[in-house]
Amino acid sequence: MNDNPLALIIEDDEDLAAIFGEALQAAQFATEIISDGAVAQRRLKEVIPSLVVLDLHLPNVSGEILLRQLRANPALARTRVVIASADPISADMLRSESDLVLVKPVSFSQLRDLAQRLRLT
Amino acid sequence: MNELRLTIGKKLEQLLHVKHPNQDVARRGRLLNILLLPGLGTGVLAFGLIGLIANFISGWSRQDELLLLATSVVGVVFISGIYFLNRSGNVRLAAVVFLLGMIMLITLSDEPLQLVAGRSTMTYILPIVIASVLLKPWTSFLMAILSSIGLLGLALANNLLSPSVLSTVFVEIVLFQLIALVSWLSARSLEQALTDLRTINAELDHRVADRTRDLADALIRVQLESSKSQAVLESIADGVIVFDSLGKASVVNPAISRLLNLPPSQIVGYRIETLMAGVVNVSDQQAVLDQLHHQESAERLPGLRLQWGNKTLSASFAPIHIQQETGRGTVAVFRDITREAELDRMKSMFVSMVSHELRTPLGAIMGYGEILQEQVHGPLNERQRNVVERLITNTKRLLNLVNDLLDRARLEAGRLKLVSAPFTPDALLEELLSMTGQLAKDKKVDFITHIAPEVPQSMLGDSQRLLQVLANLVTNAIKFTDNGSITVKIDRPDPAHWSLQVIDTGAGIPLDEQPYVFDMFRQVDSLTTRKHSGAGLGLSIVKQLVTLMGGEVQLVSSVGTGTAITISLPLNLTAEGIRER
Repeated sequence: MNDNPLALIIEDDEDLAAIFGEALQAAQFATEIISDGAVAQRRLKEVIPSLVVLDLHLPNVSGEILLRQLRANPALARTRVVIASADPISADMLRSESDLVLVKPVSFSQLRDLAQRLRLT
Repeated sequence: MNELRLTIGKKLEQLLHVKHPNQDVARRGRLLNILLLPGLGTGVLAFGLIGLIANFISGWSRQDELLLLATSVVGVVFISGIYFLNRSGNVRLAAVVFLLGMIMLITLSDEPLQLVAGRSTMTYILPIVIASVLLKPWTSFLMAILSSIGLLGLALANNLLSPSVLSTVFVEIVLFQLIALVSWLSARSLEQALTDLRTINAELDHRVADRTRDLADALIRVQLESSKSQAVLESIADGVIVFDSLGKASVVNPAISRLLNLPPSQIVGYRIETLMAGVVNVSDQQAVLDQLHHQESAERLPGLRLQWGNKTLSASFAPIHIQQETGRGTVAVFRDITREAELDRMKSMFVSMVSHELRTPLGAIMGYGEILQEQVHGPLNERQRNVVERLITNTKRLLNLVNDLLDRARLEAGRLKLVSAPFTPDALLEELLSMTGQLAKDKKVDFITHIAPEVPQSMLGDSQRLLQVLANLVTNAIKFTDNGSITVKIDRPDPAHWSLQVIDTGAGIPLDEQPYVFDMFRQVDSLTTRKHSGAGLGLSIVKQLVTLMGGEVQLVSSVGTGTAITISLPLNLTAEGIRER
């Protein structure tokens, strides 16, 4: 289990975070769920996840800011980012800065399969 | 100079004028005065001055001088007497006295023999002619008889009864009668002409009076009518401005004053541009002007919605012909729909908010359902799997409905924005197949796709929305097709457009239902008899999305044969697409 790469799930909706967690675990990731932007900001300075599932609407610090900071950090250059947003327009605008954009509702199997592919490449 | 002449003319006119209720009598009196004035002048001049001068030259006797003076005085007194008599209104009497005096003067002015023999007989003509115009025309005969009597009397009194003299007198008497006849005829025709003229005048006056009365009546009617219109205009709640052919406000009602928060004096006479300046945004101003100038066409334009200051107004325009004005004016009607607009906005917000709040838990249900379905937490038996599948299918339906409602609300609020990016038609169809292929397979209908060679490899557009449009059409087609095929074609009918076509071999749509296919909440079957699921939102969203993309939707269908829906869209090429060509 500890050999599995780390996936951070930054999502404030408890249920969605749980489902994302299940999907990523099914894709052989070790998962950690964070529901607050500020907490995520701190955590990203401590760990180097190989995958981040990012919601855009977060308390305290928005997903958009987190994405910019993450991309500006050379230590996280290899980290893959999947954006999960309910708003297709703002999600679309961040398409170039992320590896994948998923518009909610995100399907369990879809996320599992995509994460699996991302882990292998 | 001119003024002096005018004053003299006026004074002279006053001197000649005779007041009498009978127009004819007054006219004759004036004529008599005209004749008297030179008589007076002659009386003074000829008998007074000229006589005196002549006396110096020829040396008259004292007796002659006295006689001349006496005659002058008597003449002047006589003429003045007649004048005053005439002025006092006794025109007929004055005329008779004047004429008799004249005959007497003529009879006594020459030696009897000379007069009878014809030296100055012709002077008798004067009273005859004058009588015909001063008195009644027939009095010329009376004068002729009087003159004849005078002449005959003179001859008898002076014993001048030689045949030659008598024959001369006879000829003279006949001549008098002839002259009387001519005078009578001419005076009579003159009187007749005058009478006719007066009749015509009277008739004309009558007619003018009639017309004036008619006009006054019409004016009253118009005023009554316009006061009625005015009352209507003032009582309606909608704001009305009538613009004249020059584009200036000419008529306004109180409601518009309240709507625009301006007194009528600050509206009337101004152009709509001036009224809108600063309170209406530029694009709304343009829309209003477009409609105002679009009045040439007969078709009635749909109303306009615009923000005017802090109010939302609906505006409609119609051409009108204004009397006594060239060109046509425009009547503009404004209605305050601030409350409706606010309610509309609230409704859209509500739908959008509710949809969002519904989507989140639905997404969670879906996710958990899938976790069960994928047997992440252990195997399920056949019946459990079946239950989970039904759970997911129904959640999907609900989710789709909520998505449609959300799209609909966004479209209505104008908040749905298209995101244009490069896409390939191949990928579009591939994605469509992955979304709807299973559905077609389940219903055992063939799913055929075709891309014409003219279609570029890459285009610009909102592929997600295009996919939504296609998925909606294809899902719908599959729903109503029990056997046969669904064909999706991508074509390029002309260089500037590309088209998407979805053709099915399904039930078809009756002709009378076809116009309503793209309306909201519409299925061909009524609510109670419908055998197919769905709220009927899909096609209305298709129509709105395509309109938003600048395209058009066309429907061809016949019952029992199938339906073809063609979407024509403007072609936007990518950089590679342009190079390809």
